[in-house]
Amino acid sequence: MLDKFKSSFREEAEELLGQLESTLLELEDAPSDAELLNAAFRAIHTVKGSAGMFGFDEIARFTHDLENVLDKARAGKIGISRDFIDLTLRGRDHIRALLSAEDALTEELRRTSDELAEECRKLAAGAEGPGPGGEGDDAGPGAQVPEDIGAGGEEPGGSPATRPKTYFIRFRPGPDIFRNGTRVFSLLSDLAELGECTLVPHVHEIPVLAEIDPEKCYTFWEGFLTTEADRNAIRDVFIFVESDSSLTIQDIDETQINDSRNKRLGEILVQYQNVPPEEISRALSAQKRLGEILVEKGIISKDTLDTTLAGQNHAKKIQDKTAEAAGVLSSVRVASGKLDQLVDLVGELVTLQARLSRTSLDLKEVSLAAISEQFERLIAQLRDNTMSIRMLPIGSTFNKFRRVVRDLSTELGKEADLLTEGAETELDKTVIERLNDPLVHIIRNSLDHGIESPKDREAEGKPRKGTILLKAQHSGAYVLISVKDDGAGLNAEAIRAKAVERGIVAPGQELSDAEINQLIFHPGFSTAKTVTKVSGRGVGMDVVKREIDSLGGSVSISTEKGRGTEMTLKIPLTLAIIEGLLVAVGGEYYVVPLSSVDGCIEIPKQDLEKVGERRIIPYRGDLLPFVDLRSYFDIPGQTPDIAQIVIANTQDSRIGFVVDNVIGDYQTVIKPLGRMYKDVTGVSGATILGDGTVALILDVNRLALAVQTESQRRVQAS
Amino acid sequence: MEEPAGRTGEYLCFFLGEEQYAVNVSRVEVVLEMQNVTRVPKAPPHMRGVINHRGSVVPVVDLRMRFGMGPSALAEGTSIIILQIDYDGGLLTVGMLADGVREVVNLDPADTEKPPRLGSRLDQAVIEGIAKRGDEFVILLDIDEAFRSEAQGAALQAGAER
Repeated sequence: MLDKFKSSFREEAEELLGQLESTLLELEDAPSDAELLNAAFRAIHTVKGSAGMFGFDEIARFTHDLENVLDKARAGKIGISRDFIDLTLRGRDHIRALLSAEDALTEELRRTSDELAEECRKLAAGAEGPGPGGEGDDAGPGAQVPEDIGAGGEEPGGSPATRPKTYFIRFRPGPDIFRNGTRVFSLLSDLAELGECTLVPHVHEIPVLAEIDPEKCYTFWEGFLTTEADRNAIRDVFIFVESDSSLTIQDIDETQINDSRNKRLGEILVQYQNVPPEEISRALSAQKRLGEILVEKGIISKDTLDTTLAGQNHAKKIQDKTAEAAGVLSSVRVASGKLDQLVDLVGELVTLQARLSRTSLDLKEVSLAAISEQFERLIAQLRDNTMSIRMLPIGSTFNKFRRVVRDLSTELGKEADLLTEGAETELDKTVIERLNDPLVHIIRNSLDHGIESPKDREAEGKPRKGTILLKAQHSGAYVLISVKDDGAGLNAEAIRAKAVERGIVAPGQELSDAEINQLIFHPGFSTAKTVTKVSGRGVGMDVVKREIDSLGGSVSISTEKGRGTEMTLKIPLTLAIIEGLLVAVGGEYYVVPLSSVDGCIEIPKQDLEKVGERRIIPYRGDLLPFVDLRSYFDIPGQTPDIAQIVIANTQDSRIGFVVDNVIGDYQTVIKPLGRMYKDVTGVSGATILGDGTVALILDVNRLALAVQTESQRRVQAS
Repeated sequence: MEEPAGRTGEYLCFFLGEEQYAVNVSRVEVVLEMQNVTRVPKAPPHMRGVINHRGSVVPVVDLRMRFGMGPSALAEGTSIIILQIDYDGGLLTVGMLADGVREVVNLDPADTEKPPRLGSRLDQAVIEGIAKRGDEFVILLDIDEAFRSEAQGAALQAGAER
């Protein structure tokens, strides 16, 4: 049980540390933003508190000094300099290291703790001397001398949101909370630290002594908190127990509080405690008079007490209602394993549904067809909903890259900014995870090979500081992610020379610019003259390409000498389910991903024969190459008198596939073909049809590429 | 099916052509009747295709072709034996075509002999041993070896044709 809490702490702490990193990086760019500084402090503060609570003593011990530094900075006693950011970032990294080391603390980690803590103490102690605002001319603390009142989370003076607000809070811990080792008292005192706080314990659920289970929590708390901290800061106090407890935080504005002095108790109960008016009247009739309205805190305790009395039988119902009314349950944390299971189940449903439609079609039973259609619609919604749950904004990874750029540019003696666009673009969780490494590689490459040294840049008439733009955007069923730098651009001659030297291309071979650019994806290719620590080991771009290929995506490059390079990744939105077009050739079924289908045309058999070896057909004013799947895949049987051509979009053009029949739109659960078939080209996966047989999914891009090379060979041969 | 004793000695016997082979039952998941196998184009001929087994896509391999014995005839008794094998350093579920599945027998490892150096059409690596049952010979297959990945498979076939 405690382990479960520890792992929940670790999860939450990872998240907080992630936020902390991006906050610190933002703070470096905007040193006078007191809200950022407060956010950083809150993150550290929460980590420290919870670490102590769950027995991560080393983290608690170390974090204390780091917190001090941030606190001093909040008080304006330490300027936000690069050194300050450096130290705090290193501190953050160290907490992460401690977190993953957990019980197996090494001497080295302890020493790092001590060293960093020492540095923190020095910085904090140094701050005492000069006094507020006395240092840091270039990056002074600016407007951040807050009117310090409470201990945590207040917003700076001058900002519009400083007016304290009042919240109604109900904290009902789960009955097992003591068993987990949680100290409820420290939670409540943390809460009280946030501002003016009145809490009333509700002890009416405590049974008679004989029936008490001493390990169970029978108490819950209600009360009011007037604070400058925002709702999230309040929530942060309970962050580690939230999943098992119920927490209600409700805004109350000042006027209501003042009003309540003059209101009847019954009215207040209806307003704040969600007691149905009927209940009040019933209570009134039983008790005759509810009593005079008391002043301020008196009211609060009395009325909540009465609430419990009046609504005891309805306590559960009331609580649900309150939560609903306050819109508290706006998000829920779910283990990703459960989500994967859900997706699998929906996948099975989709398959089963396809079988149902097919059966109802075969049976020609009208009533069944109606049910099947409705079912299909529902399943489609369920599928979209499930998929959308798995969608995450890609921005969460973008933050990591800022750190990469910051650290790496320092290391390389270069100056660069990372700008991001489209951080809100949503993508399947698994896709995002698998994109991380390739993107790091591309960004490193841009910094290492693309962006020039500040001196070179000035000589070129460019700003000293290079820019890398990381951009994500939706494009149909795909997401385009591009990394664009304003560096030197790819050096075509150097690439070519290197490729010749490595024996990748023949010395005299003619290559288009696009082909030369593609060479950098060749395994074992690297143009860096010296092998640097960062990139240039020749194991970069080919790995990127492989990973993107395996995601069903593609990589393209555009570059201009002296102006920069742009690398664009085209990634499918999801890996699990796609819409496909089911086609038949002979007795075999294939699925073409619908996202890449441009259109379908009919072609009489004799026309097909006439075109013969040229294998080019007119389509909407263009001449397109096509593949006869029957002959390409060696499928037995004769082409019917009228064949169909499915026109599909490929990475950079279009291609036609000759099939016997187009059966129709088909929701497809993608199943991997498995490791035994990993070398097969032209097929990217499989799917299970309604009747339980397997159909293969065409890999349009690979097929187009294979056909291209084949026709080139033919041309060369003739 | 019979003789539940002697765990490790239990083998499933099946035919490839006229020859009798056996695999340890611990590797056998289930025996299926022959069904529609979806061909995967551009794959080596001994990889007959894929089937749907309990919602997963499972490859089906024709060991006869791999051993250079010509394709399976797909007659009445043809079955697909679903096996768990160690492939490229991980567990993999595969289907194996068999011309007929006989029974589970108890074979005492002490009774098995090492394969003779000559006179077998198979590479010795795939043979765990040869057991005698009455006056019949049963070849015990090392299935991990028999399904080993592509390049080696080709070499195996070449060796078989020699």
